[in-house]
This record gives sequence, structure tokens and C-alpha cells, in this order.
Amino acid sequence: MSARQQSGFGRAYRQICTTVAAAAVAGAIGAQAPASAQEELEGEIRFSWWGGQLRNQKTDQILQLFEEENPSVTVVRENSDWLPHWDKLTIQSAAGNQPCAIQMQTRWLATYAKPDILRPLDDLLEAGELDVRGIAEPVLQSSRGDDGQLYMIPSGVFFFAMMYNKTMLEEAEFELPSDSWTWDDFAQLIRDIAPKLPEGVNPTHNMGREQDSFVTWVQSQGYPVFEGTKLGFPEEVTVEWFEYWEEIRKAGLTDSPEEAIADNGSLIEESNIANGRTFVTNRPPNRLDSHQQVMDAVRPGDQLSILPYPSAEDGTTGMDLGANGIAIGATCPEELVPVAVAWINFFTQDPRAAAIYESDNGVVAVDRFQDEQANGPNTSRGQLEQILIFQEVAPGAKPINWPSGGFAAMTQSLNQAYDAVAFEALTPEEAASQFASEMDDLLN
Amino acid sequence: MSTVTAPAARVAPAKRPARAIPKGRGGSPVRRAENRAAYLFLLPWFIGLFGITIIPIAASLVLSFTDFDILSPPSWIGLDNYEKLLTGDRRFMNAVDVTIRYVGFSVPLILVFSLTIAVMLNRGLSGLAIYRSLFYIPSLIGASVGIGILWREVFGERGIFNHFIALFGFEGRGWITHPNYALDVVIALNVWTFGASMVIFLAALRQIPNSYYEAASIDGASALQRFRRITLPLLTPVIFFNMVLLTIGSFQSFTQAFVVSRGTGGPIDSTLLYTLYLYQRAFVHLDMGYGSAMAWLLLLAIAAMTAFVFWTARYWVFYGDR
Repeated sequence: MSARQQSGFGRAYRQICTTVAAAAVAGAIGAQAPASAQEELEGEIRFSWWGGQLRNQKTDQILQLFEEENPSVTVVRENSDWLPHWDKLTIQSAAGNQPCAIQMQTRWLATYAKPDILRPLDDLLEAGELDVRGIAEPVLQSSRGDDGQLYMIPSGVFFFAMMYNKTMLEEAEFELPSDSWTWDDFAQLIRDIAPKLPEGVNPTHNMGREQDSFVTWVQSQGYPVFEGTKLGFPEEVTVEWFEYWEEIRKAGLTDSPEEAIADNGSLIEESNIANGRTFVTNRPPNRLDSHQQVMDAVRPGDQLSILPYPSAEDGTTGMDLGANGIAIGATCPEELVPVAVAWINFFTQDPRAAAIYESDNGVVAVDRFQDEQANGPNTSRGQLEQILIFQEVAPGAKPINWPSGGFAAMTQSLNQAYDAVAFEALTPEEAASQFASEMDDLLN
Repeated sequence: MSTVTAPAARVAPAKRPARAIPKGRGGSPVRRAENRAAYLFLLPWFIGLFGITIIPIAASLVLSFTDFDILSPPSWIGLDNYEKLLTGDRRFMNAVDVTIRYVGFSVPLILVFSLTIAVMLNRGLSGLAIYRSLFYIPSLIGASVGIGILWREVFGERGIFNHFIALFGFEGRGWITHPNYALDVVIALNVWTFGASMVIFLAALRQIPNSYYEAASIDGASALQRFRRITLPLLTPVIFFNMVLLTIGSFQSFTQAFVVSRGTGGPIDSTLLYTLYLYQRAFVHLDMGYGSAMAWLLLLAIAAMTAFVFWTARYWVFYGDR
């Protein structure tokens, strides 16, 4: 690893570089049962989470189990879609009305990780109230705020990858790329396979505007994405990224700029990859099963699969890694904190909860459930692929320390900058400069 | 205001005695009780006016001079937000440009369209109530999220609009995802909601006495002349009214651009209306101080624009009784 890499990846990277090994350590040190498990619980708490219908059903099912075991406890359900979840939490936090239990994510944690918004959890952890058995120490540590306090108990670990049509690859008589494939290998594969794909199929979705693809590129070039609240890489890296995708686009190997924008925000049912209109794209691995369901209806027999992002020529990988979990609102009354703690313990540690949730929102953070799901007879192919690829990429992953507002700023600024290049309104150099200045404006 | 005393000879016989002015400040006990009851009934409205209108407006003015991320206490920065808006924010200038184009095309198109339809419907058409309702419905639902989503699907790359023009041999495209056409789609959606203006025009057309048209016809005026010399002048107060309402409403348009562009104002900020950018700064990037400053600039711009339209009214609005 180069010196510039080490300087930039920050606290989370230093702590997560050996995820699998640390998981074993965490399992060994966390054998103590939580003290709150023996208490009689009563009261009403609110729990807010994000997700679609399937995840809502699963969460509700787990909540019902929890309420059955604690008959004096009621949990008020507050579910939203992804973005409204954060809008609502912001308003609730400003009004001091945040729920006792809040689903949280490391990408957004910096915005809310303040003692007057989220309750620091270190005292509950030290007292043995919170149960973190089997959660890898690096993953747990990535749930700390800038002030070093723990604000979230991780329940699932997520990453981004590429999703491709395995059947098209096989019918074109190409081999699956090796684990150590590079960005050049990817471009070459797209060029080679294009003539052999069915008519009307885009060889690749244009990922120039995709934030998760871009940060992987940046990190694979040996740079951190952020240094505090500043971008951690020079403009040339952005220029190269734009030029990389422009070369592929101008060769007619991507979807059109209009189609790329539409596909970026489309529902799974409308997405090009699920409808067999694109050979490869970027998608969260936990959506593989949902995409496959659509594909089964549209192109029966075709199989989708996932594979890690390419690395740099020197083998440097750039995979980001993040965690979803549950936090406790700072305004949660002290007498209800044990209820919120019990709910967190139940959601993250109860085997029935893990079996219901099935790594739906990131690979389950508790290692024993991860192994169970990987070897379970009822585990779906999508879940299994997700877990196996996670175990493959986790040791080399580089979790990004997202500053407050960094995720929204990055998504917006990159979209605008690359769209301007793709519609030929700006040169890659101009767009990279615009991207850098707007990130600086939004973050500082 | 002075009081003029009429000559005694011209005073008409009093039908009833003049009402005595109560001597006490609050009038009689009965009157005072009535006043108390009235204020009690008005209290919910006053609470609403102050609680969710006057105080937040005043607070936003104060916040516009602060750096405030909603999750931490605000810090005073003076005129920095305004200075940055007017001198160093590329997207702000772009949002102003997009909004001016949006208002500049939407308002005249809605006025022309709604007046044309109103004149057509005013020609003694049978089933007028049905047509009037049909044309009015879009103005009720046009600003809804559901219609925005429908519009996005209709004008998407695989939308029904492209299938329709393909029947005539035209090649479709992603109308809402191309920077050259996305704003046109949003303007079209706004124009589609012409029903409210049309209903007002229709009501005004029915107020014009038929005798004017009959007299003009006897004098040999053609239909176009009757429209230019009678209808249009007598409608100018209503045109003025609709123009002011539409201008203010269009400056504040948000939902349509938000839904069609999925909240981005894209592609390449081509649908970034002023209010959408304000929303992004305030609620996505949690820059409430900046958002408040934008809101106050918008208020001033709308006030200036409205004042300008009122000033021009003296040259083109015809009130029949003056």
C-alpha cells in the first residue's frame, strides 16, 4: 500500500483492513449475555427504518416476534422510502422528536452523530447492555462518530458491485473475468462481447455518473475519497474517469446519455439489466434476487449474477464498504432506553430475526448468522452470491469516511458533471473542475 | 378625509334614526361581549397566522443572515449568504435563468390557451358544464405528485408519447432526460393546467352584455373586430388578474420539476427551478441559512415583478366604469 493511500483512508480503513480475522476476535470477546435480557420491559417506543414492501413485511414480522416476547412493549412502526427516511429524521431531530430506535447508515452517520441527536452507546456497551457478539470489531468501530463515540450497532454490511447477465456471457462464449481483473480488462471485455450480444442490448450501462463506481475508481487509483471535508484526490483522477467512460460511450458501447439518466433512477421492474437490455451495470448485490425475479418473467432462462469492481493495473482495489444498523435517539426517555436496547439486541442477535431478514439490507453483520445463511438450504442464490462476494472483497475493502453531507454532495455533483460531459456541454477537464469546486462549496 | 355637510334642502327624509355612537371605548356591554366572542372565534385563525406564517417568515429573515444546518444552533454571518448567492453561485444563476424561461413561456401560453378555449366554450355549446369540468380537472390535479410521475412515464424514452409520434414516422427520445427538451416538458405540464384561468375567463365572458355585440353587428363589425374591439378590452381586468396570479404561481412552481427530474433539477440543471434549488440547499444539503436567503430574494423578485405588472396595468387594462 502506498503512503498516500495510508494517509487518506482514515480511521475506518485502519480498523477494517482485516475484517475476517477481527470477526473471530470479536466473537471470542463478546461471549457475555446482555444484562437487559433478564429485565421486565414495558413501554412504547418508535422505530423508524427505510425500505420497500418486502423489507417492511420482514421488519414487521420481527417486530411482532419481539412484542410477543415482551407483552408490555409496543413498537410504533415508522417506515419510509430511502430518501424520505433521512428527510424525516432531519426534521424530527431539529424538533427534538426523533424515534427511540432509528435505522442508520455509516454514509449518513456523520450528519447525525452528535450527542444531542443520537445517544452515544459506549456506556451501554461497557455495561454489557448492548450485545455485539459476532459483529466484527472493524465494522463496529466504523459506527463511531467524529468524536470517537459509538452511535450505531451494525446489523448489515453493504458494498457495491457490478451485476451482469451470465447467460449472455456464456452464449457469447466468454469466460468469467478473473478476480483480479482491471478497468482495462473491463473495457476490453465490453469491446469484445459487443458484437456477440443480442440485438438492442447495450454492452454496458454508462457508469460515468454513478457515484459508487466512481469512488471505487478513485480508491483503486490509490487515493482516499475524502480527507476530512475535502476531496482526497486530484482533478486528474476525475478527468481520467470521465475520459475512460467517454471513450467507451463514443465507441457506441453504452446506453445513450438520456437512457443512462433514466436507468439510474429507475425501478427494478423498469431497469435495463432486469429487462435484458443491458449486459452489465452497477447495482447493489442485495438486489440480485429482485432483479432475477423480473428477468425470469421477461427473459425466462436468463441468469443474472454479480462480480466485484475491477482494480487498477497494479492490483489496487477500491471497494467501499458500509454498514447499516440501529441507533438510539438522544431524546429517547431514559426509562425507554432499555426497551430500545432490547429491540436492537433482538434485531441483531436473535436467530429467528436473522432468518427472517436474510441479509436483506447488507450481509448480516453477525458472523455466525453469515455462516448459517451461506450454508443454509433455504438461502436464495442471490443472498448466497452476496455473502460469498462479501467474504471475498471484505479483507481488501476500503470503507470511506463520508463527511457530513458528503454522500448527497458527491451524488449530485458527479451526476451534473458527467452529464455535462456526456451531452458534450463541457470537456472532461471543465467538468472535473466544476465537480471539485461544487464539492468544496457543498462540504465547506 | 373631510366630512361634507349637505345643504338642508337636499337632505332626504330620514328613514330611521342615526345610529348612536357608544360613549365608552368598547361600546355597550352587549357589544363588548360580541367583540369578545368574535375574537374568540377568530383566535384559531390568528394562532395559525402568527404560528405558521408571520413568525416563520420573520424567523427565515433572521436565519438568512446565519449559517444554519438545522441540526446545530445557527451562527451569525451577516450578508455572506446574499453575497455568495449574487456573486459566486453558478447554480443559483442557472436556476434564475431556468425560472425566468419557465415563467416567460408558461404564463403567456396559459393565458392564450385558456382564453381561446373559454371563447370557444362561450359560443352556446351544448354540454358546456361537462366540457368545462373536463378542462378544469387538470388544474386540480396538475400539480400533484401522481401527475408528475405520469408525465415522466408518458415522455420517457419508452413512454406512450414516443409510440404515438412513431405512428407518424418520427423518432422518439428521452424527452425528460435530455437537457434540450426537459424544461419544455415541464412547461407543457404547467400549461396543461390552464383550467382555472379558463373558468375565470368564461365567467368574465358571460358578464359582457349581448347588446354590445348586437350593436356592433348592426354596424357591420366582423367576428374578429367584435373580439378585438369589445371582448378583449372588457376582458383586460380579468387578463390582468390571471396574469398576476399565474406569474406568482409560476415563480413558486416546484412539484412538477421535482417529480419529473426525480428531485435533481437535471439533466445538467435544465429543470432546476428556483424553488427546487432552494429545496436542495435547505433540505438536501441542510443549508437552511442559504435557503432562507434564497427565499427572501424570491419574495423580493415576485414583489418587484407584481409591482411592475401593476404599474403597466394603467396603460392596457380597461375598466368600463372609468
